[in-house]
Amino acid sequence: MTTAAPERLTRIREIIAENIDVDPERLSDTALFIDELGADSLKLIDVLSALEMEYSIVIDMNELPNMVNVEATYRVAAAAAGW
Amino acid sequence: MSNATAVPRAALPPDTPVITGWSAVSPYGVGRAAFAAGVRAGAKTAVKADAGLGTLPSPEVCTVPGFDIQELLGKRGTAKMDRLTALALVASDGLLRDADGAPAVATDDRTGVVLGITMGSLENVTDFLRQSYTNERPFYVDAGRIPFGSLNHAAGACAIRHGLKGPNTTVAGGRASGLLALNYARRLLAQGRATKYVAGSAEEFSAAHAWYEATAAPPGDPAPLLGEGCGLFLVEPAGRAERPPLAAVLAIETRVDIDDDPFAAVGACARRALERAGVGADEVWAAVPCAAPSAAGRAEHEALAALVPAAALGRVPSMELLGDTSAASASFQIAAVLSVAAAEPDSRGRTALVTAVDRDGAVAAAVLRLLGEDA
Repeated sequence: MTTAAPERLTRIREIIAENIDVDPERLSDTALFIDELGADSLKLIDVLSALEMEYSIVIDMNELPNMVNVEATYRVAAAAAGW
Repeated sequence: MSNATAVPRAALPPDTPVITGWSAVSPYGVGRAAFAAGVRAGAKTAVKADAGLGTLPSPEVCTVPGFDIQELLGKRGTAKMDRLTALALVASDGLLRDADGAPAVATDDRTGVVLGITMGSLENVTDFLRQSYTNERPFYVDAGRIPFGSLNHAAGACAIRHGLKGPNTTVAGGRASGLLALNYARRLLAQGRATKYVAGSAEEFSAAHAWYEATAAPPGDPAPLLGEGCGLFLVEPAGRAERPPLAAVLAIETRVDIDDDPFAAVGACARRALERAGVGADEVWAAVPCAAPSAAGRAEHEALAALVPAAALGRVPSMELLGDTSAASASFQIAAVLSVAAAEPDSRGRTALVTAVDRDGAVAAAVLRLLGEDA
């Protein structure tokens, strides 16, 4: 993984926090959305679509199971955006 | 609260549906006390529209004062919640919980919910469609808003919030929907499909709704003054009611004005409802029309004036004070008559007639027997 650009990572964390309904402060890079933060697959679709809109990218739906935490979600977005 | 002069419950057949509680989130404020005080005072509610609502066809609105969704319902799950759902949830809290948020009404697996609406949250739906048309790609839309865009979301959210597992229904009937919902509850209670019901109706104010109504108004007419809110009732069979009944639902009649003659349709509908209730038109103590700002609304008023004693039509302040609350109106009409009756002991045992008429021809009338005490 390339080093995450801090401002992008911060923004992605905000987007995730808003869409899975947790405080951004509670959202560490490695906390698991579903197992630790109570999110469900519907909310992950919200995250995916919000990232697509934010960065004008298209994320394959098959990536959904890979979006387990902030770090992994950043990687998925980065791959789709070619960062 | 005194039950001393209330009509004895034993006088009612045990399967008669009775209203044993109500709540309102209205332009008078959040809660039943604010509504009752506002109605009894005949207070106006129109205010200058908040600048945050954007450009509107009418400078004034009758919105629920201080209705901040996250403040009232907390932050969790509310970030993308539509106003209609929030209005219904806050009203359901007022009906089913006490001031500390603890359950105040016994519910079970067969407690039903039926909510009357017009078109759900127009703001949510139009925002979503606009995103699809104007964003870079048609699928760049806020997916988190999709659940809130379904017509039955508010009724479902109320049931989930309070764990109500009985029949859950949404009735999209515009101004008649409050009475259609009450009728639906009456039928399912009679069939033994539910033990008690949370029944009522809701409408949200939004820029989308305001522009829709302004566009739908006849050419040359000013944009209507719009209101919003939600009124909910607890409805139970008299024989099993756990709380003293405030009113018995004697009859509800609906029909469609196919001749484009709302005067005749409302008159016929109201007469039929009174007939089924076994009540003479001259016995009506209070008659409450929906007062829609339209030719149909004016015809409704004339039809009632031709039917009931003049004093009956003046008993409850006009619903115009709340603005055109559309789907919420019939529930507010019932809540208003309960509010006025509660302050007038002479009302006990008397009859109230509540009517509704919508521009698509829907007509409804309900006959209530006013029974008891109130807060």
